[in-house]
Amino acid sequence: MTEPAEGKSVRTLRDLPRAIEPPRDLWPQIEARLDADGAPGAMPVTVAGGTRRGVRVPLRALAAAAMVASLGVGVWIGRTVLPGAAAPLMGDAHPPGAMQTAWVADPRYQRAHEALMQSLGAQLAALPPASRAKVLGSLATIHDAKRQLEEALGKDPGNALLQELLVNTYQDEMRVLTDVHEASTAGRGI
Amino acid sequence: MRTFKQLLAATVALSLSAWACAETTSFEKEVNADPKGTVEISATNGTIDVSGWDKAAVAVKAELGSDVDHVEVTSSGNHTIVRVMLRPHSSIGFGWSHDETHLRVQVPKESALEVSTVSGNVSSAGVLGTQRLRAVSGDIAAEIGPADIEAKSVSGNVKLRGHGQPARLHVSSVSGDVELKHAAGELETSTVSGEITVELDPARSVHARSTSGDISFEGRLMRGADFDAQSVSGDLKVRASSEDGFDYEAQTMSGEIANCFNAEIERTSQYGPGHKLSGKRGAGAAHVHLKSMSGDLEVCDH
Repeated sequence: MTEPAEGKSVRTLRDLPRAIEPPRDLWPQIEARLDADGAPGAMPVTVAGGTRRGVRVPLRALAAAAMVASLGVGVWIGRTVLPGAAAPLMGDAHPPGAMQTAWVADPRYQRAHEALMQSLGAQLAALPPASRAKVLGSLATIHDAKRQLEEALGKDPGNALLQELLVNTYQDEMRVLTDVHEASTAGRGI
Repeated sequence: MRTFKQLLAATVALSLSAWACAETTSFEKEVNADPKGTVEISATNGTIDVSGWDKAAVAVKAELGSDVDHVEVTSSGNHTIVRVMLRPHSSIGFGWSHDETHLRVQVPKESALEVSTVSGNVSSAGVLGTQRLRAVSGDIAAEIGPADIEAKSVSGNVKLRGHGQPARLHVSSVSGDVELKHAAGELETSTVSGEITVELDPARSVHARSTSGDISFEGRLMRGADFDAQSVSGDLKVRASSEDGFDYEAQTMSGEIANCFNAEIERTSQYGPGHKLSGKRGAGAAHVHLKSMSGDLEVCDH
């Protein structure tokens, strides 16, 4: 078990202790109390130390508080500490609180995306007008989808379905950009 | 007045040259090809029709639009390439015409096929090897063979037709609709706002995702099959039969749940929103899992 040094700020998840052991084995006392009360579930218990009577906290409340605290730390680290978490993508305005997936925050993805976006105008101009209009329509559809999913993720950052759909949509966008790039270069074929 | 006449003459000349340029030209070429090789076809726009045949050759017949410079058809080893090359043009809009290229390509029927286009429509039939078909805004229509198919479009529709032979199918769209008929095997599909309509008989596994598009499945589940469909706001509808039955779990946060076996819908929480339906039909040998945030769910076993 490792503990962060006193006063040291937490930069990554690794700085957090893997576990915090109580100073002594609490189970015998808890077991005795449960047996005495004879009821399962959310029984009030006395917090650490038989001599400190009178501070009674329900088990469920303790569990909920611990979960909320863990989530809070996780979300804070995800949004402010992890590299790239706060950096918006080129040309995209993310709503406050929108969660970026690790895949989207990958610097390699961002570099490739940025390069493709910078040359998109010239590449679109190289397409026949009808194709250009259809591609612009497709990109608009993708951007709408990204915006909606990011807004939904802002309200529900832990939703695995939204994360999966957002990653799918980013991949679709990259595919469009790549296809347009290939269609307008390399001998004018794709 | 003289200037006006000169302008008029120039306009007429320009129109005539544009009309002349707008005519399509024919193209034909055939090259030998590995009967089980890979055929790669690409064209920016127009139509691409591919069919499988018994000859060990790739044949290309095309009517080329005026924006086409040439068609490249090369074969080396087990790889054949068919590529429609556009001519350079002015970026201010001159030089493009509205005529489109129509490409018909015959490939050895056991070839692996790879087709990509930006706004063209793709169709394939009689190809028994793996197929990778990609379009940005064009439609894709393909006949499912015994091998894997990957079909992806952004705003175009994707239609796949099978003959009940099991295959692994990866199909996705952003706003286009997806339709699978007489298919079988394993399916992974996703859409943002398009509708997904699937007939799979039998299905070994189905993994479907949608943001706002509806997903509808009809078919038979094999013993041990996994069916998993999730959406944000799209409706999910499953009509699945299975000889050994299936267990099911359907959950929606703000939508409604319906079923055709009078099973009772429960609330997921005494105080919070959400409903769920879970249970088993028959021996419960397959598994059906539906989940949506605000979409309606329907489960039926016939």
